[in-house]
Amino acid sequence: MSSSAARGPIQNLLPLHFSHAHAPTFPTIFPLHHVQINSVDIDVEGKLMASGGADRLVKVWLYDEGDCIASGAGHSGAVTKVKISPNGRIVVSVGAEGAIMIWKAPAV
Amino acid sequence: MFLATRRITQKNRHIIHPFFITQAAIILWDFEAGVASMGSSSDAAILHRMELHKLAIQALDFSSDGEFLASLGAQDDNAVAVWETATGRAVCAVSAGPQAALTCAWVPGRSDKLITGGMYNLRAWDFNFERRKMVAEDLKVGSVKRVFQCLSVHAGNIYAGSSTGDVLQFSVDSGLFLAQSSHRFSLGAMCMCVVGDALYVGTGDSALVKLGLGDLKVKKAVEFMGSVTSFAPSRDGTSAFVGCGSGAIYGVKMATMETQLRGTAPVAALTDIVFPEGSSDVFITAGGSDIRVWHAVQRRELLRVQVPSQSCLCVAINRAGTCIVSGWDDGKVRAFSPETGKALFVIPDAHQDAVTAVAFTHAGTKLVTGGRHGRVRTWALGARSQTMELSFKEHKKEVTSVTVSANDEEALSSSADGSCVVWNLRRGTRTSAIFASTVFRQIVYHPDESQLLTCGSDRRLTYWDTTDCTAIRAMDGAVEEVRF
Repeated sequence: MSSSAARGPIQNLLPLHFSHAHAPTFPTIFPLHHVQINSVDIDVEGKLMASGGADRLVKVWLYDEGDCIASGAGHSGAVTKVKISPNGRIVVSVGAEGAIMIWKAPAV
Repeated sequence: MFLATRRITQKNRHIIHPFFITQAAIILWDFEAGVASMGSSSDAAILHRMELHKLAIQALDFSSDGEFLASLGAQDDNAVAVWETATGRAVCAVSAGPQAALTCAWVPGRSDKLITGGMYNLRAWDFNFERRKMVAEDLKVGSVKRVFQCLSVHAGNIYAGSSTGDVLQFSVDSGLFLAQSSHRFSLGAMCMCVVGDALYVGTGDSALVKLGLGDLKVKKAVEFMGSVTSFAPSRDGTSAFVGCGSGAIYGVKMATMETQLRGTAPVAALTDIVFPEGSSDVFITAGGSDIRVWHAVQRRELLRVQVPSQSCLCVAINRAGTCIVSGWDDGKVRAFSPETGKALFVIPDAHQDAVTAVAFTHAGTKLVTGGRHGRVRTWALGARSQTMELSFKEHKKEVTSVTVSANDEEALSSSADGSCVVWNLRRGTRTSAIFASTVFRQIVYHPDESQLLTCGSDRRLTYWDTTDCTAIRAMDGAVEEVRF
């Protein structure tokens, strides 16, 4: 099992697009009990998984290793659902603020 | 280039963090750096974080030379402040007056004169940078009582739009009332801007109206979808963007007032996404009172299905891609055609309270649903009928997700009561269960179905063995503190 240190720093997920109706709200420190994970998804090959939650971040993990390889900030509300596309190229997330974000999935 | 944003602190947070209600920040961003660092949680693009106002920021305006930024605090704060953009420091801040101020605008070409408007008041401020002082003078509104919601200053004239929908004209120098528009927009004037020789007013009754500068008479009007809340002309004045309360953005050609829909966005919280089998270009979202189909590459909305005054909690699509099913707040399951948006069938009272989770079997002949009261039900889909086959009463709280195995033999359900259950759909029995002290938000199969993955309020991603439901591994999925 490789450690995340060996893989280098966590890269930033690149948003390809977002649709957003409201002015974003900004920085907040989240107390521990606030940070629940609302959604997970595994890609069809079982290599990658994506998660999103109340910390407003979308994260992509290697399933077997358990390493977080990418993290995306952009939502201004809790992430309510994440999905990896069937071809594994994009990750789509939706939030409680009404935004849809399309992320480029990291290459494995 | 600068970009200023305002932050509204959320009142409901004060239970946890009392200090959250005290300060609202104005953030000054470097526009180019912000675009470059999109998606990262770094503060690199933030030039200044300006904190002075309490609770919320009501309005912002840059002076025409970009040297100063004026800001208004919300009703409880009601201060007007001027900031130096280069340093991010407040030059001066005073009370905006006895009544709430709602909007502010600099006089173009001058960085010593500022206009504010609000509840029954309209004031001109003389701003002195050297002495760090601001002095207000009330404009002579006389017996006119208006709530001013928007302002535009042009060529020595102040145009002020009111909540009752008329536009009033004042002189900057004398402060005298000059003229009033004869037409009243029924839901108020929301935004306005002078472009060329006309005043454009965005109204609450969803129109952008062109008024002549001399007589304030309506020259032209175009309709939009939802109230016009913002209007931003391009620098050369040939085109503009119009933002609507419904989340739509339009492009407008100023010469012909020709409009083009440039983008739509949901305004309510979104609750679910689903990709049709094998399609990565199209996806479906649910949230608020609608289901929308989006094109991921072209990034536009393809279809919208709306059910007024109900909210959609979950959505699924069958493998053939011929039927979208959705679970709603009123306990109904509604099915639609993905191509036309036409209703295919409705299962009334599918669950007592609300349908919170829905999934198709891979064969597409059955539907598995979960309800707010914890029931998990399966439905046989006939050509014209939908009949309930099984109803499991195992979960004590809301079912947060359901999913079906590849061979359609088993189904998984997760619940807010801290349990996940593996169901045998053929025999109609519970195969095994997971119990933990967490609110499970979702459970999914690993593609080879040897493992299950859950997430929930314990901030953990947990791997489980499918056969005996023992935990294999748990990872902290979220850091305890996030600051961005």
